Amino acid sequence: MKKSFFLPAIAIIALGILLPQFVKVSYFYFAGYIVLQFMILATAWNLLGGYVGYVNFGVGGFFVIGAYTSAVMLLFLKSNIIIAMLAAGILSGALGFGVGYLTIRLRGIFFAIATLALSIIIQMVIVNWHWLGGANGLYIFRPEPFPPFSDYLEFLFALMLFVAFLSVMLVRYIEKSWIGKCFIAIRDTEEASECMGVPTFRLKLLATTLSGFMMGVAGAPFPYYITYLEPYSAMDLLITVNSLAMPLVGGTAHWLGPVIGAILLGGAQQIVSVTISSEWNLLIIGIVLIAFVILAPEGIIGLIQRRRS
Amino acid sequence: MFELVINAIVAGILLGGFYAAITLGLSVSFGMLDVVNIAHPGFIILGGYGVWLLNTSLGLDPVLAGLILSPLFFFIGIGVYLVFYNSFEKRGADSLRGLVFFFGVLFLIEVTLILTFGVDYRLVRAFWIGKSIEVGFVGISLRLFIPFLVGVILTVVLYLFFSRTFLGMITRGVAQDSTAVRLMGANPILAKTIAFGLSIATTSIAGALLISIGPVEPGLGREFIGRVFAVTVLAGMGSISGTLIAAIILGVAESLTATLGGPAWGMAVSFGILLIVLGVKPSGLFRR
Amino acid sequence: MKTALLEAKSVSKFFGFPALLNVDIQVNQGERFGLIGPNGSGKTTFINVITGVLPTDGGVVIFDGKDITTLQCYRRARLGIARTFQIPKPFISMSIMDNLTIPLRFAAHARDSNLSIEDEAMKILRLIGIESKANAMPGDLTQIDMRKLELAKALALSPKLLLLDEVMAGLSSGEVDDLLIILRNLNEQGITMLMIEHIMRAVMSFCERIVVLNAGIKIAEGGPDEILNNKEVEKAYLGE
Repeated sequence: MKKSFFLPAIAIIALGILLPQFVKVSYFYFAGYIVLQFMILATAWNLLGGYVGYVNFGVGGFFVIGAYTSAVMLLFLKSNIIIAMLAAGILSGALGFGVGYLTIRLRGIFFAIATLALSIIIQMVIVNWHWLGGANGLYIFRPEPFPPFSDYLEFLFALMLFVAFLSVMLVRYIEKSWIGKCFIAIRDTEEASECMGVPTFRLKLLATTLSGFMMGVAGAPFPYYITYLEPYSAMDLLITVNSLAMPLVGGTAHWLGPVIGAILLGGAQQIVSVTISSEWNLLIIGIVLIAFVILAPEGIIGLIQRRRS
Repeated sequence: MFELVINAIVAGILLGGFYAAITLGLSVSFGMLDVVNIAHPGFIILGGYGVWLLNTSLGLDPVLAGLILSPLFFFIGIGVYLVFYNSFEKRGADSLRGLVFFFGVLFLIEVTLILTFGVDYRLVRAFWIGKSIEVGFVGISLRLFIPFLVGVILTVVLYLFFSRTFLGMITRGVAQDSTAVRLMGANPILAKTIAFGLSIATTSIAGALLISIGPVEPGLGREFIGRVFAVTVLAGMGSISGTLIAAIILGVAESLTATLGGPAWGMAVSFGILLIVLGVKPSGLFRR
Repeated sequence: MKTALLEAKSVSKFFGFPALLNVDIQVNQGERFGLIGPNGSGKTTFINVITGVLPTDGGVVIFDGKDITTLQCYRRARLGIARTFQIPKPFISMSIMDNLTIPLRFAAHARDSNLSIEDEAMKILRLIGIESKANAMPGDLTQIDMRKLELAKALALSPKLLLLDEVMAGLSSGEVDDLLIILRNLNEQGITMLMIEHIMRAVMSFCERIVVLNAGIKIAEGGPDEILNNKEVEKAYLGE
C-alpha cells in the first residue's frame, strides 16, 4: 500500500504546484476547483450510498455546514485553511454520526428522509442566525498568494487536487479491504450479515460518519473560493443532485465511478453553464440522473465491464 | 390566553384535515404498496400549479379544478408506476435505485416548474378564501375549513374504496400476500398500478387545497416531506382512517407549537414527531 | 456426562400474540437435536431469539455457560452460533467463494494460519460439494446449491452450534440423503446441531432427541420413537 500511495501523492502535489506555471488561464482553476469539489462529494456519497446502500439526500446540508464552520474558523478565529478543513470535517462527521445513530435501526428510506430534513433545518438555522450573517451572508477575503502560486485560486485548486486524491485513495483502500466487503454484505442482506458476524451497526455508523466528514472537508475551502458566502450560494439542491448523479453515471460499485462521473458531468456542466442558464443545467442533470438509474444503473463502469464479458 | 389556545386547537384540527388530504395518497403508495415515493409532495405542488392555471385562466374554483385534474393525474400515476415497476421492482433491484428514481422525479418536477413558472409565489382566488365564520370567540377561517372538509370527504371515499370495493380489497390483499391474490384470479400488478394511480390522483386535489391555504412556489415540496411521512408513519402504515387521526394530531401539535413558540418551530414539530414515532414504534418500519 | 451447550430457559416472545411462551429447551454438547411442530408454532422465532435477531420478551439464553440473552447478534455469531435461513440469503453481489470470506473473517475458532482465507473457503466448498461453482454468482445457482451455500457459510464461522432452518425443504429424496450424510460427518467432527424440519424421515433418522412446539408452547420432548407415538403430537399436526 505504501508504495502505491506516496509516489502518486508526490506526483499530485507536484502537479498542483507545476500546473500554474504552464496553464495561465484563470478559468481553468475556477472550473477545475468545482469539478474536484464534486469529485470529493461524489466519492463521499458513494461510500454510503453505493457501498452500504444508504441514500443521502441532504448532501447540500453537510456541505453548507462545512463551508460555514470553515468560514467561522477563518473569519473569527483567524485559523489557517488546514485547521478550518479539519474542524469542518469533524463537525460534519459528527452530524453524519448523529443522523446515522438515530436512524440506524430503520429502513434506508428513513435515513434518506432524515438527511433531507437535516438539510432543510440547517438552511433555516443559518438564514435566521445573524451572527453567521443570516440571509445577508458573509464576506471573506482571500489571503495573499504565496510562492510558487501567483494567485490564491491556484493554491485552492492545488489544495482541492490533493484533498480529492486523498479522498479517492481512502475510499479505494476501504473498497478493497474487509470493511468494503462487509459494506457490500450489509447492502446485500443486512440480517444474514449480522448472523455471519458482521458488526452492522458499527460499520453503518462508520460509513455515515466518514461520509459526512468528507463532505464537510469538501465544503471548507469554499468560503475562500466564492468570497461571498450566503445560505443559498451553496445551492443545496444542485450539490445534492450532482452528488447523486455523478456516482450513478460513473458507476456506484467502484471507486473510479464517482471520479469519472465528476469529470464527465462536472466538466459538461462547466461548459454548459457558460452557454445555458443554471436552471436548464439543473434540468439536464435531473434527466441524466433518471436516465441512468433506469437504463444504466451500473453506470459507465458497469457498461464497460459488460462489454468486456 | 385560553381563547388563544382554543383557537390554536381549532385551527390545528382544520389543518389536520388538510394534512390528511395531502398524506392519503402516500398512505396508499408507501403505506400499502411499499413504494418509496418521496416525489409525492412534488406531485402535490404540480397539482397546485395546475389548479392555479385553471383558476387564473378559466376562473374555476380551486377544488373543482383539482377534481377536474385528478383523472389526468391518475394516468400520470399509472405511467410513473409502470416505469418504476418495470425498471426496479420487477428486477428485484435494491431499494436504493427506486429511492433515487423518485428523488429524480421530485427534482425534475421542481426544476420544470421553476423553468415554466419562475420562482415567484402563486395564489388562487375563490369566493370562500378570505371569509371566516365566528362561533363564539372561535374564528373559523373558510380558507382552512373547506380543505378540512375535503380532507375528511377524501378519507371517507378512500376508506370505502379499500374496504368495500373488490378492487380496493384486492389491493389491501396484495399488500400482504400477492400469491393469495393471484390464486383468487386477480392480477396483483394491475391492482397495484391502479392503486398507485389513485394515490397520484389525490395529489391534484391536495394541490388545490395547498394553493388555497397559502401561496405556492416550486421548492415547497421538500418542506412537506417531513409532514407527510410523519403522518403516514404515525398512522400505522396503510391505515386510511389512521391517516386522518394522525393528521389531526400533527395539525394540533403544529398549531399549538407555532402559536406558543413561534412559526419557525411549527415545521420542526413534524420532524420531531417522526423521530419519536420511529424511535418507539417497531412495526413495518424496520429493515426487511 | 452430558454438558449443555445451549440452554433456553423460560423463553418468551410476543408479537401481540405469544409466538413463544416459557419455552425450556436444552441442547447438549455434540447432540443431534430436532425441533418440529406445525407451521407457525414458533420454530423460526426460536432460532431468531437464539441468534439474537430478535430480543427475548422473557427468559434467559445461556450458551457454553455464558449468559447471552442481551448479547448482540454478531457477537453470538463470533462465539460460535451459526444458522442457515429458511429462504437462503446469500450475498448476491459476490461470488460463491467471496460469500464465505465474510464469515471466515469472523470465525469463532482461530483459523488455520497456514492457509489463506481463499484456501479455507475452497476447503469448505469441497466439503459441501460445490467447489466447482466457486467463481459463480449466487444468482446462477440451483435450489440445492443455494442450500449448500447457506450451509457452507454457516460452517465458515467454525461454529460450535449449527442451527438448520428447514435446510431440506424442496429437495429430492436423493438430495436429502446426500445432505444428511454431510451433516452426519460434521456432527461426528464435533459440531452440535439443532434441526428444524418438516421432512419427518430426515428428522427421525438423524436426530437423537426431539422437542415439539405447538403455538409457541413445548408439548413434547423425547427420542424419535417416543415422539412418533405421542398422542399430543399427532393432535397438533392433524388437528382435533
